[in-house]
Amino acid sequence: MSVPKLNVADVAGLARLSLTPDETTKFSSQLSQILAHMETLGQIGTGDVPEVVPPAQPALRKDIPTPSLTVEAALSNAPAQSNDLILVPKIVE
Amino acid sequence: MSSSGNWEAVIGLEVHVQLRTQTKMFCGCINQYGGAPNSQVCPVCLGMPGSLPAPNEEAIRRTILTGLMFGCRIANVARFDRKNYFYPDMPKNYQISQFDDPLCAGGAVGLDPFLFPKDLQETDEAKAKRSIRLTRIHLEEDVAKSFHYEERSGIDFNRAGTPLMEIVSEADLRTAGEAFAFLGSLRQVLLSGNVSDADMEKGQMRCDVNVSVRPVGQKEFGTKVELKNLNSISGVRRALVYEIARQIAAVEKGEAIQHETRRWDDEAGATFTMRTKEKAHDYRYFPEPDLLPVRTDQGLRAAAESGLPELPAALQDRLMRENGVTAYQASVLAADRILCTYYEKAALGTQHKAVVANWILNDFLATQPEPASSPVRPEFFGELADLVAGGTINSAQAKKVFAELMANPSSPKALVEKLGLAQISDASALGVYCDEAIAANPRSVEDYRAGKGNAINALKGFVMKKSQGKANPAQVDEILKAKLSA
Repeated sequence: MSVPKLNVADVAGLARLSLTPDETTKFSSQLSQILAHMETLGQIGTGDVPEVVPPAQPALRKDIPTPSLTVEAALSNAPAQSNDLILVPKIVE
Repeated sequence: MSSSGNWEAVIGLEVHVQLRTQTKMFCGCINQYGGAPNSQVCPVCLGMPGSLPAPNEEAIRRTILTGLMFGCRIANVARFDRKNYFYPDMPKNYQISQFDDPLCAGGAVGLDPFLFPKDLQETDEAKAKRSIRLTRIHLEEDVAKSFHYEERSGIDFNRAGTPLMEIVSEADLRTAGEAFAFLGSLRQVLLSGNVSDADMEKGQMRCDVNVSVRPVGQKEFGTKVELKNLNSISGVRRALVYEIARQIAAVEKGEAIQHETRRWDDEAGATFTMRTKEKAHDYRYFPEPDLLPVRTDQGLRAAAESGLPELPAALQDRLMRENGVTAYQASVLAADRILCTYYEKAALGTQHKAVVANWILNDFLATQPEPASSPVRPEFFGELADLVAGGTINSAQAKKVFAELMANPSSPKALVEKLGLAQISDASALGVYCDEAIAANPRSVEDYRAGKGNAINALKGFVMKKSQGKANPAQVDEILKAKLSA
């Protein structure tokens, strides 16, 4: 069975993780094993199996307002705040 | 404007539209602009661990309605997906959006010639009435609003989680004027369905533009550039005019176009590099495990269908066909629902519907731009048109009545009396004036009888003067001719 390729350095970058070269090598081999294991699922033919959709539309929420948090409560976990805004490091894309 | 010589532009738009709902997309916080910062938030829209989204039925209905208005295919089963990326305006680290199974696919936006910029309305590109294909319309949640300071950014989560529709066009647009007309036509339909207020200057409609250039006749697309910071429909046009010219100048000099995002600076009237796109974003979309697929075939689609409005194109056709208004007037009326409702009320009780359109669009709007709050009741226009058509007043008198109507709104019939304007159509009274005219102008009488038809005008003028402009001109003409040939 072919082992799917995974670029661990890229994935770590997307997840904002910094890995040492040793960790990159170690996780590459571990993740390859995990992916190879999951590949087993690909051996089952599912072409004829109809897609499962819910038999009925689950209840959706009516468009009716419910109370929000107080500003104090909303900001209570914010490490930094000013003028009721949550302050974060400056990020301008 | 898009093509200098042998080049043509290829333009595709991604338009984000804020839906008009009471509450947010996945929680019951109110969806309203302008609240005190972070006063319209809860664990769901703050992205707290353990909170669960509950989809807003009305937002889904309005998105389906939008799809129906643009002739999209409505998915029987639609799904939500997670779009993963890190940014402080989105604390869950993913945005709930739709990827593989959006609510609406396909469809098209017809370009209304009168929604091109004024200076292009008489051109072939406006008259072509092109139809621009849509790729898809999907529903997602908006992100929070950021304010950037010297060293930090501040975040207000009131906007986070509000319902946002993304409308994606095919790369069918070829000119800046077409992009302008596309956005205007799109907005007009959205307004007619009461889906959104869709005002770009208020951020209710936001637009990203993809644009490239290629030699005319070439099938392959050139390297595309994405434009951002476009805050008005005319800004989109100006940005495209600049960017298309920039790209053509570059390729003519043999320079390669960079695949990049450029920022439009409206004051400078130019675009500037924001970032180059070295590789495509990898958002790792996957199905949102907290939400079941949406079945539109069990009531949602039917509910949306029942809300289908008369679309602007159909409305324009009807007004031209049934009311006899011009194509331009029909387009002005269709572009403004409040004005159109006012006009339709005004025209309801009269046969002279085109005359009413003239009064309202040419004269009334000039003095009272907000018809909804005007003290002038719409029925007054129909009454005024009937007074002219019935011969009670002539068109010169109607102008006086109109001026009085604007100054002191009340029934035109009452105003005619108040101003002492009623036209004299009483044959015996007019006969007296005509006799006087004949007696006082022997020279004109002689000329007329000698075959100078125009000589009768002097007699008519005499009667009009004597009657202080109140004589019915058509009747005076008849009576004079009868008397002179006797």
